[in-house]
Amino acid sequence: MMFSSLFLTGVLLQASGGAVTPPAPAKPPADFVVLVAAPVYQPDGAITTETVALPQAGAGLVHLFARRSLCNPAVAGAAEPADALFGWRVASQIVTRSERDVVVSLDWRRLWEDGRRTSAGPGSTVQLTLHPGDRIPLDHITNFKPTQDCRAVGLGLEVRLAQSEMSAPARTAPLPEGATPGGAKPVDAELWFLHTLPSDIQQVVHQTVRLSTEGARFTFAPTAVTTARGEVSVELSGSIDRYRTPTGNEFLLLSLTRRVKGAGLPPEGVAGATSSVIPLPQPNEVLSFEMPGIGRARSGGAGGGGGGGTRAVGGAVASAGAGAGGRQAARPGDRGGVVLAGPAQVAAMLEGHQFSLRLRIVPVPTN
Amino acid sequence: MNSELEIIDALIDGQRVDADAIKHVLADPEGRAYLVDAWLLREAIQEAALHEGEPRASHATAQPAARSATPGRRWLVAAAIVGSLLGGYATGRITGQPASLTVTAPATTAVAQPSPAFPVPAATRVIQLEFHTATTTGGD
Repeated sequence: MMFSSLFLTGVLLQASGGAVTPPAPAKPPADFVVLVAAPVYQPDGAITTETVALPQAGAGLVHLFARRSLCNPAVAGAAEPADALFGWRVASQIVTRSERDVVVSLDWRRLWEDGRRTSAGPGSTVQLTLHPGDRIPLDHITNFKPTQDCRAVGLGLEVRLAQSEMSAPARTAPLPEGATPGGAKPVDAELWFLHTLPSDIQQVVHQTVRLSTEGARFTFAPTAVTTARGEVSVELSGSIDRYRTPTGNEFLLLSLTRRVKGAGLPPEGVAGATSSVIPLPQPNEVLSFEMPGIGRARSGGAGGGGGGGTRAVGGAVASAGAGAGGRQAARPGDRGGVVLAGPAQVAAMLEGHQFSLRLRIVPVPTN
Repeated sequence: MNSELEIIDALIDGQRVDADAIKHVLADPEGRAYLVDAWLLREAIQEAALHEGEPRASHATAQPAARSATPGRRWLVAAAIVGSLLGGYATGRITGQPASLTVTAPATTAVAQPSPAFPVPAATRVIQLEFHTATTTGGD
């Protein structure tokens, strides 16, 4: 055991030696994001999930926990939270990445139970090969004491793999005149991805993203949606870019891409993109970006509401074969065949389901 | 990784760093947060290594006489340690694909939340979006 550890140390020394002379930065072969999630399962099927993205390379350390009750999941970085009721420590190491998967080594352990820190909680070290859409449960804490405030069935710990779009969608919203890239100082963006089912049951995924002065990208793990034509997955990813006008006013460019896969859709899914320019919200503001169906059978439809430079982008979405969504439906050279109206098909498929993204910008906490 | 943060790695690694540069980096909240994260990660790794060594250590303290009675064996152990280290180094070198073990600042960094994420706060402003067909790459 000791010698195998020393052997491993030797390997690590070699690897860390490589870090002294940093290799030329190589672009990851695919933009996969490993997410650790803590979903709270409610008896009626509602799910509220806290998530955190692991570092794209190298080692990482996060804590996922619940404070006050199982219904209040939260996340902390490497520093242990002081107010955890239940929770875990998750140390990670990205081993390899390829076009198809990510191999990640995880060392997870339940550190808090019923408000007490424990050294005897379940845990393990696992090496997982994750594919896009994978959802691997690691642990589950049953709620043995449901209360009026928290009737949850339990709190889980899961690993998920999401794939973000390789390039940002084309900007469709106009920027204020003279605006140049860059914000004043880093801030945090809290994002909630809400999915309201036809039954009015809501599933919510939350994550906090640090926005540098340039901005940041974000990705949510695929959400499973049961439709009349079968189960589909809805993937939402995007970016927030920051701009400043010559007068010092700051604006955010929110770009979103939503991709729907499954249920007879083309293998790469049907993607829709949009963007919106908004003034930098105050910390007490919560913006809700409401998303209708992924496309429209006829151009027009929902107009840009709200304020702050939002512009609806419609039209040209019903023609099958245009863009990623329709590649399989109509290829160049196809003549007269029956083609699938991808976006319209998806819009019909998702009828009754509502999606929205909520955004709150808060100052970076000082340690 | 932000190149400015690399100096923190160097500091933690015990390397010589420019005092002004480290002051500059630590003046930034992001720099301070990174220092704490990197330090705690190192502590966690060291703690795990210590736990792994605990049973062996207690076994060793229980038999101090036996250890001191066989100096020749200690040389053998020392030689094995050096051999293991060199073997491991050579294997790592040959197998290539060095894994970066430096703590890299993630593109999206988890931070302590100033207010609870749940229940979801009510929207103060609603903005309607409309998707158009994406031409970005992605998916499978």
